[in-house]
Amino acid sequence: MTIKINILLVDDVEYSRQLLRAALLACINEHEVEMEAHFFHSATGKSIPEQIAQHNVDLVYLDIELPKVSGLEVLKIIRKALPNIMVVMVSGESSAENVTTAIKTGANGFIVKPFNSGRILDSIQNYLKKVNK
Amino acid sequence: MLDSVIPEWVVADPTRLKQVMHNLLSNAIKFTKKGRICLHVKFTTSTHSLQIEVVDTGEGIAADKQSLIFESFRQADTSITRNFGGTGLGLFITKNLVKLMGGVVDVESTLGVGSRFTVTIVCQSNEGECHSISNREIVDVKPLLIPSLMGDILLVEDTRVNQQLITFNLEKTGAKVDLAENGEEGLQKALTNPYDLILMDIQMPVMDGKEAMRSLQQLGISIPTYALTANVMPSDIKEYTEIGFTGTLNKPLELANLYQVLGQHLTICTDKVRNEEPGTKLLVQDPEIRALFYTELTKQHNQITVSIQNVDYVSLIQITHIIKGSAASFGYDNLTNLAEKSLLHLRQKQYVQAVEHCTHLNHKIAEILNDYKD
Repeated sequence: MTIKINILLVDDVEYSRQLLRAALLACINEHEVEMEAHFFHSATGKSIPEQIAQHNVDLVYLDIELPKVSGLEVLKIIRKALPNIMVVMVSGESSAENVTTAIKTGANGFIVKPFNSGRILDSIQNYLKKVNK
Repeated sequence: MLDSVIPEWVVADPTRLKQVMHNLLSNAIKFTKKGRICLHVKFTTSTHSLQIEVVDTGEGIAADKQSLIFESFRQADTSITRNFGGTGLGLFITKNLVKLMGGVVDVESTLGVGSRFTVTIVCQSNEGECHSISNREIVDVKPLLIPSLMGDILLVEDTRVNQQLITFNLEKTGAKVDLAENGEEGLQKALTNPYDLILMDIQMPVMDGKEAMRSLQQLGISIPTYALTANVMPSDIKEYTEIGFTGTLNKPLELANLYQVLGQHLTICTDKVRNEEPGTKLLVQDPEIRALFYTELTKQHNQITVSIQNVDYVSLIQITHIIKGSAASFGYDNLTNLAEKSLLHLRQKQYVQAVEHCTHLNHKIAEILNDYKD
């Protein structure tokens, strides 16, 4: 059975969002994951919980290096409003501080740019595991 | 003192053999104030056994302490560290090296009279009949087959000695080994690199193996991860499995077990030639996204030029950060590398080098854009 999933990509750089979208689609195709993904985009970290509710979002990919409010701050806001939504952090580097904060704040994944296919696949499979529980 | 029938050559690991002799001799020198130290090497052709004896007239070891001295961080008497120094690891390492070479080390000693350490390893030589493997005494010593493997392993281990020993044995298979000094560093590396296997020590500073495993689990990292530990009570092993470890490897490591685990998770090479690592980075082929990338790159090129002119380091940090994260996905690893170096210098406020790298980066971008236009 094909699972429909709404994915929200939060990144201020448009082609970073496009890149992640392409990577996710490539991964779904390559591994024949029975999944129909719909993408929503946000260039800022503003009112993310509202956007999640509005589009019935199932999975969020959230860039850490957002201008003004960092992705980790946005994660805190999401967690307060929606404790169970799956959020995967995306970052240009896995600094100890970022990783530790992401884990403490309850991130469900951490993907480092440039993307490697194994970690992208992990994030999708973790979502499926959660849904199938 | 060399026996008269010593063979011209034997098949053994010269580095480890030297290390064993060095450890035993330096121990003998350390504990012998007067008298003599004798090194005796002999070879028994019938059993193919090489015997190295180090005899000293030093302090000696009490009978009840003789079994302790081969344990890690143990010396016969705690006052030894005060008087003679040392970590208490020398004999532990010696014993393990000898064990890895398929041999044994024994001690005979009388307190106040002296000690005799004897190392015996079985090895082939040019003396006698090397093919007489049917000899009963050496039938039990199975030669360990080292598998020929391909893949990337992350070793998370804080102890220098273990790092070296384990890396040495892993690299023998042809696998690539990356090292992390503690759980936190291990976690960071696991997020960034496509490893096939992680070997994780449990007791480590900063972040221990259990916490690192819990974090890997939370972030959904699916790389098979084995606990390396001396705590192998059933309750410990149960706990490791519950946390998410794929399995447990006992310390000191048995090579046969280690190679069995490697064989399960790494690619076994059938050819003698090992292939280079397969491309694991995603390369974007979609023409629309590639076009977008080149448009952005043109903008970034102009921004870098202006930012260098205006001495705007904040802007340079933003641009190089974006390039670092994206260029490799389009096949431009050199841009990602240069951007990373520029970023490092910018963050460390080494502005001269930063500008130098940014200029170099911009030059490379111009080349790529020119090629693209053509």
